[in-house]
Amino acid sequence: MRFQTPNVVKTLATVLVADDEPSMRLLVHATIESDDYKVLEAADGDEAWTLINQFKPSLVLLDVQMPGRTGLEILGMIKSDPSLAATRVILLTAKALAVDMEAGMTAGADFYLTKPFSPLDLLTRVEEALHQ
Amino acid sequence: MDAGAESMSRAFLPVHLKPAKRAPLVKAPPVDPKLLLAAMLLESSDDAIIGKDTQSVITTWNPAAQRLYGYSAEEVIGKNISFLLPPDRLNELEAVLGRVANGAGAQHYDTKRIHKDGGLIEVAMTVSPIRDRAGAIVGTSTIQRNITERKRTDTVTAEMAAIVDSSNDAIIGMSLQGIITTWNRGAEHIYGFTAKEMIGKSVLHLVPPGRPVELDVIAGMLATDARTESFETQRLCKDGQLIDVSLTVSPIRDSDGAIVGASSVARDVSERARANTVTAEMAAIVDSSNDAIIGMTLEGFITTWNRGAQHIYGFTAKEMVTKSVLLLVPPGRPVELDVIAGMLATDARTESFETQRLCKDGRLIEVSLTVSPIRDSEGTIVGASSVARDVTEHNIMSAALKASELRSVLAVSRAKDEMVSLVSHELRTPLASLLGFTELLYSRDLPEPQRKQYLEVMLREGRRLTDLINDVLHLQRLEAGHQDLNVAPADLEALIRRAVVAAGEDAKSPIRIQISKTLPLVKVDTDAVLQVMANFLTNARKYSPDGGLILVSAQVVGDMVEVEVQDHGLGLPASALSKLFATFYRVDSTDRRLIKGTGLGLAINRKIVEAHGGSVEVHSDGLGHGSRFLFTLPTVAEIPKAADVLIVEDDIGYARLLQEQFVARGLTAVRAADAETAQRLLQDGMKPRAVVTDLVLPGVQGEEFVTRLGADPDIAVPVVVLTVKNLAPAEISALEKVGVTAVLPKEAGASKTAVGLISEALAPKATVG
Repeated sequence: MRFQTPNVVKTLATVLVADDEPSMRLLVHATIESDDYKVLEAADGDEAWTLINQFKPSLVLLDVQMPGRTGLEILGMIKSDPSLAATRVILLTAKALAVDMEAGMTAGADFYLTKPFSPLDLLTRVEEALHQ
Repeated sequence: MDAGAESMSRAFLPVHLKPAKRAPLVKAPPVDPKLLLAAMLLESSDDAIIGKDTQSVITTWNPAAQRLYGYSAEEVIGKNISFLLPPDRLNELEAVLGRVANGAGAQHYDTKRIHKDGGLIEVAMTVSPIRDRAGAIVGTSTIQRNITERKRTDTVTAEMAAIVDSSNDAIIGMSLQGIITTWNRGAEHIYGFTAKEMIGKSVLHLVPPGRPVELDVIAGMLATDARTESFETQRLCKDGQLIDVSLTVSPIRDSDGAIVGASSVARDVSERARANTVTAEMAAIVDSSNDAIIGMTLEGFITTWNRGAQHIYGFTAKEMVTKSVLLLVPPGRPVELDVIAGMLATDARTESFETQRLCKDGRLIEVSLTVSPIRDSEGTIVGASSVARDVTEHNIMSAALKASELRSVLAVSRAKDEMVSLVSHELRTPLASLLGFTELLYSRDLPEPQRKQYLEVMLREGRRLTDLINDVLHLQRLEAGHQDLNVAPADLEALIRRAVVAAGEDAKSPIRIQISKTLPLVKVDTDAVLQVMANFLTNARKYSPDGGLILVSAQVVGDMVEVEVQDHGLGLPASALSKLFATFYRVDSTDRRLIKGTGLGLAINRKIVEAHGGSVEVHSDGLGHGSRFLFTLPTVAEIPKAADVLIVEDDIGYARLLQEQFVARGLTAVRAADAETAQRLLQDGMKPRAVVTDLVLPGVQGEEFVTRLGADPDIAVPVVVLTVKNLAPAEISALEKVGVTAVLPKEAGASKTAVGLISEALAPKATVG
């Protein structure tokens, strides 16, 4: 079932999952778990920002409504930091209104998925974001 | 109280029956062929058949019920029926069950229910009592049929009929022979004939010589395959006049498509009709205006006076028509006619200005006046119209008031919208877990430990979703005022003790009750207060992850009792205190991120307490310093000392049944929901002339209560025990020994017997000659 990308040279990409719901972190982690990625977890916005600066992950999966800094704030900070120019961002959120999605895309997210989302769909987005 | 399930299993052969937890197991009796037949009927019926015990817990659910609601028997048996009910139907069901319990027999009615998919369905219901062999009501059976489609069709037909009848066009139906079969109000208006005069007559009555008849038109249409045909022609009215009409003719077909008649829709397009319509519309506009609109002759005599004029000036049309407009003009103010004269000189069409006018009550009002000349068809000025708008401060204020009312309505609707948005947001996260892990389990071969871990998360999140939905529904019912409180005097200390027992033992965070002085009785719904206590106690433990003593205390404050639940847990930041009782508010700090909650428990508590006329409060000295939650409940202002009968019964339905029967016999009755409350009522000076009590009660049991009654020399009154307990003769004689007058099994007619016994005992004795 896994999406294979045999033509791409394997590099161990770091992916950060930031969500205050442990069950959501487990779900996202389990979905993208593979030999291709090193997966990190953050339980709030501030922890996420610390890990982003420390590990410079290739991809950050951000929950929008988090304690501490919100997902949108983190996204803004990533976009204004030149050392994080290569960092891709996928927003995962329970906010399902068109205006919310627009705010996320305007702020520079690569993809925006609303909860509930399909894990297989998420996996496709992750692969797309990493191989852009 | 709850032996219903047991006796029902004998009286009503269950197809799917899950015995109620507390019911003892019953050995299956030999199968009776009648019961077998009943079971087959149940299985094969097209109607949903649902059995419930006296507590409305589902005991039987046939395949048709599954088709109707989408739930399988396994999903619903053992659950309370209330989850199928839209919130606005709870009272209806309670009323129906009340009638059934009172022996009213089968109840038929149409109502709405909620399908598993969340949609509303219309159902026709027949609710009948289920009786055991002794005739006692042990539950109810409901036969239900889906009438959603029928209702929709009925509505559409009724709407169509209403549209046809209210149309201004003449709409006529006729047979193939041209005999009129339907005749609407528009036809009556246009042609002058009534429906009574025309139905059964030939349509030829309306057709002038040489004009096409509807049926010939139909014949022509069939030749050309047209669906309808519109053309201008003439028709004959009752008064002999010819009118121009625009006629639309269509064939009427039966369900097989065969033409069985024709419909004819005629619109009066004559000049007269057009002019009449315009005039009528204008008159209606003028009459319904809030402005005072007056017409007058050149001499200033009033010719028309609308409702706005009556409202603003205070005079009626009858008082003013033919009078001079000068009656309204204060000295020194311009008169309409002089204005007109001025306008003619400058060629203006209308003139607006602010001035004053005089009202019937002598008041001077500020008006904005617009004056225009009235001309006849040749253009000659024959009068003037005057439109006055009241611009006095008072009116402006009242308009502002209306605007503020509108704003508050809008605020309520906005709050509702926010609630919906919050709820949908809160539902998405657990749903994401459930669906996400389902998809992973479905699409991947996972090792067993992982499968188990995911399934555990799904179970937990599913339960969280259920809690959330239940809490939201509960809160919504409270907010809409559907949650009726069954308020009665209650011993609060006993309630607190019961809530603490229900919370269970926890060595890490023990609960201690500290009530030094005897509390007065409170006026509350015991179930609701138990829920409030349960929520506060659960929170106290939940937010004390390291444990610590939980202290519950209560004291009298004015005419209220204040209850306090104090914990030594995480405490609250000052910024959270004011928002804590708001819907979906959860404190955001790292120390409690792993503690799950819906964010609704405190909002529910506040609603319940406020519905009792009390208030809630929270105090904390900050993070790490624990929290104190306080709520108040009203005390009973006056003990009902003069009541004839004291009813000790926790089942509100049964207590009401008894109460009503006592009232019918001219006796007053007071209910206590538990023995503790009853004892307090007696201590506080209530002197009942008789006592009716249940044995199975929350807290102190009926046996202990009647023993204490018997030991009290002050209370030498008849005591009747009504119970579902199957008492051994020795137990009955033990009760009689402590002074119980009669022990009656709770079965059909028992309440009547009890009420009869007591009213006989209380009746003034006739002197025997």
